[in-house]
Amino acid sequence: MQIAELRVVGFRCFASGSWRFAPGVNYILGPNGAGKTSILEAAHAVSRFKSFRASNLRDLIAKGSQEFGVHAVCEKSELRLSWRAGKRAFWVDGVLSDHPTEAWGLLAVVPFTSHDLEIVRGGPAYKRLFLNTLMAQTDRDTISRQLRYQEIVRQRNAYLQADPSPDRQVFDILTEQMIAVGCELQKRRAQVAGAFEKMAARVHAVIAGKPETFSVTLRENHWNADLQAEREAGHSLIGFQRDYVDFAVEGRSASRFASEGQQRTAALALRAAEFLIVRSKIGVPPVVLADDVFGELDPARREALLSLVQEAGQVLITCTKKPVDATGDATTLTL
Amino acid sequence: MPVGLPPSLLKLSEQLRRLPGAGPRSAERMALALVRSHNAWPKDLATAILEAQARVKLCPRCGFYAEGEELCDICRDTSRDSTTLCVVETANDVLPIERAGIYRGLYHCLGGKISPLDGIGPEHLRIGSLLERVESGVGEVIVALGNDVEGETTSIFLSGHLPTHLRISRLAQGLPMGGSIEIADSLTLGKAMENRLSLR
Repeated sequence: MQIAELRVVGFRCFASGSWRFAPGVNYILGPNGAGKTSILEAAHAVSRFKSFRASNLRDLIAKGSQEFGVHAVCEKSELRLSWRAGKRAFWVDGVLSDHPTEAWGLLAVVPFTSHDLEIVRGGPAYKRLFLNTLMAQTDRDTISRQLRYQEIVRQRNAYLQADPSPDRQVFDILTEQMIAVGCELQKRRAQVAGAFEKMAARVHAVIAGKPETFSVTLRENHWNADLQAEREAGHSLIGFQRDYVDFAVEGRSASRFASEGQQRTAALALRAAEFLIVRSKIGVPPVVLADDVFGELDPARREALLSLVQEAGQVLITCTKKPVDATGDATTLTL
Repeated sequence: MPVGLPPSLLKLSEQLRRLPGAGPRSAERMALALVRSHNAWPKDLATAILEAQARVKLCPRCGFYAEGEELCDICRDTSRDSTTLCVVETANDVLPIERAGIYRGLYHCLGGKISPLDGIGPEHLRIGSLLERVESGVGEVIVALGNDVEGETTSIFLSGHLPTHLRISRLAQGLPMGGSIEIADSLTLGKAMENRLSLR
């Protein structure tokens, strides 16, 4: 997986911009505020239709602009994402994609950013989202299923909020559909969580440099629909969107008990595990988008991390100045 | 915003832009074509719009487009098979099925789909009249609703309410004609596999 060229219009701090990347390691250098992270964000957006630091695509529009566009020239195809008047559009090789689900993740990327700490520190919702995204990357079939599931939950929640209560059968029919799609997703996510735990545990020990354990706690929610209780709550209480997920270091919740250093190690481990799982699934290394994280690491951890992703294909790294131990054949792009 | 267009032209263009499929550019071209035409065509067009809007109603029996208070052309056509009903969401959905030219039965337009998000429940749809219609000599009902969540919910709801002696089916889901397996998305391919047909 490789990005040969990235072009943006009206994106973050760029009215327009265009950058070429080489295979292998690319350093993106520049002072703070020059837009280094925005370049990685553009690559992330054209891959996953969202940013790793903004929840809404609207937030990516440059000040004073009404729309943005990101165009990525990859080895085999050209991808283009645009956001305009509240609508997202996606083109693959110049052809407008009818099913954005088919275009999602065509360019495989794995971000390593300071925001990864939020996954470790945040509540179950962050971890669920991480696992759901990993599931979508490794089992493409689940992309449309996840969207379908969200749509069913939206309808069911609207039913629960409606006043007066609509026809009871509609509730039963929506519940039935939710269970059918949700149980399948729950089954597949359990598999993904299992594979992830195995890989992350191995990687975590390598980065930590000592035999520290990493584990995933997954408690699946029940499927016993209760119209009255759910109406009172105003939303669905059943379902896999409420599964409890937590990560643990040395058997204790990473969000509550791990030290700052352990949390940082866990954050790196989960992305490194994602990288290795996606690579083995799609057969080629995904593009690594590393935002300043390598700079913060002590030399031992950096060494360990680099050894894990040493068979990485393309790596885009932002930093304020090129590390002294950077390999000679790395490409440098200065903003 | 187009620069330099007089206000009345701008207003016309804005009105035309509300038409489905019309973007700002095409609306502007349509508006210019209208105001620059030297014959009576714009007036004929205006009359035709008003006339159609006043006269076109929904068929009291099936809900397809009809003129005045009469039944629609399809319901009046005695050569059609009145024992088969095809249930569709809106009157517009009749057109593609008619264009395909393979269906010779009658229709029933529900006028929407069950969608709590839009506040649409079964009671807002023409389900009562459907249940009345199937009492008089109908043997088969084909449910031709979309396969989004709303369509699925409505289909399941209907199958629970239609009398059990009826033959009830829904449209198949699977590979498009002329489509190769290579380009089919996984969900469609999965459905095609699930709904596979016997070769002999």
